[in-house]
Amino acid sequence: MTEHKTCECLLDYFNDTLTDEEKSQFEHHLATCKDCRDELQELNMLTADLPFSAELTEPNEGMKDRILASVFEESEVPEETETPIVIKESKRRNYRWLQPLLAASLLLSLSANAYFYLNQNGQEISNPPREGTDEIVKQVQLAVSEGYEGTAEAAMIKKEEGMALVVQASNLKPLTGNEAYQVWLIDEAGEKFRAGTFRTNTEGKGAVTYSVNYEGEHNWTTIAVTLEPTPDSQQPKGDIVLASQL
Amino acid sequence: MSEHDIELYARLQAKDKRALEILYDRYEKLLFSFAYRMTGRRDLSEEIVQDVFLKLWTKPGIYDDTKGKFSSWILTVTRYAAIDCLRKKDDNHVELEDRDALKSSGPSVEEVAEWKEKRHEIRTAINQLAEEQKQIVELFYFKGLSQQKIADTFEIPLGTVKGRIRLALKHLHKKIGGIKEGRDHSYDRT
Repeated sequence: MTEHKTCECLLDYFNDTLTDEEKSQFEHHLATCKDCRDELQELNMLTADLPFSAELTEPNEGMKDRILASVFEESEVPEETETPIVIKESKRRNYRWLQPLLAASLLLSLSANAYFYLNQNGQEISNPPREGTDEIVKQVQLAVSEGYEGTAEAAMIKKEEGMALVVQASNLKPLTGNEAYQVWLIDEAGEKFRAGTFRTNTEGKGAVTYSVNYEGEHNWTTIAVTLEPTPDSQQPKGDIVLASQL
Repeated sequence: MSEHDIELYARLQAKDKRALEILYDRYEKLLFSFAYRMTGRRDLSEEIVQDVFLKLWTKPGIYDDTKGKFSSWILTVTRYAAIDCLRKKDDNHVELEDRDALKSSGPSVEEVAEWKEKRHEIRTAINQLAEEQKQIVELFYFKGLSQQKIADTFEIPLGTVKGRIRLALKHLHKKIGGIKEGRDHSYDRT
């Protein structure tokens, strides 16, 4: 994309009509183009008052109770209830799905990119979680790309030793041959970093923990999962299956 | 007020349900009305408001003060949720005939005073725009259409869309400014 053409994406970026790829390109561009940054700021300023033009519309009957109940419930009961990977005495934290992975991540060297399989009962990672100071600094749901299936959640966890990334996916398409799912972290400059590799089990579930300690400072803008022909791609070769802004 | 929002957000981050509830009460009507303004459907508007509060509750750090005022930020999040909803709803055909959105309103009760005042100003300003500019604002801001779709709708070259949108928004902004100024000098709100 030429510089001029990239600038033309500003309004579509504002309206969120770009594809993920275009969006990440534009964000990269935005970091270097002052004109676009100024224009975006102006656009935000010019439109800031517009929501207030809405006519007062009385909310639906009982809406508050429904919404609050659903919001609070969501954080306590994970969505994937069909084959929950839950440890029995595990009601202490809100992010229940993370617990087995947190526990597992403690078993792994933080400097290694380890990948592992979840068996059907989640038995191999059944150690109870340690009480610690780990803190979830970011948690996102990844959106699935067109033509693919699956869901995934990712969390960045601040540990004493550094930052860990935990990704758990389900309902993914089965892999063939040497294929693997690869997690990438993408920074402001659009550079892509390997952030864990995993394969799925027979139920299409997979997970990985990864220690984030690349050289230099990075402001992560995107996390993506691609389907790679082999587990050792240094840069993405396959399609993006799941992705989210960070 | 906005400092207060930030404090509540901090409490919410610490999983204080009461803080979320206070924020909910504070923004429910505005967000619901805005979502309804964009979608014209009550069921979708409820989904949108739910989506916003769900994000607020389940995504730690989603807001911080580098993202501007909390109130502006939460309206932006609502707008994106509504745009997303409009796109998922397959019958997203474009109607130039606007429902009721840009017309002036009858009086309503129990409203946040600030909102009411702003609404009056903005609607007055919108009503002063040329018809085409009103429609541009509608399709661009409230419907979240792409430049290409706007070009198709108005049957104008793609390259001219951006200029027209900016011009319409700038006109509007100027008019709002003019109305505010007029109010400060002579507008008697009784």
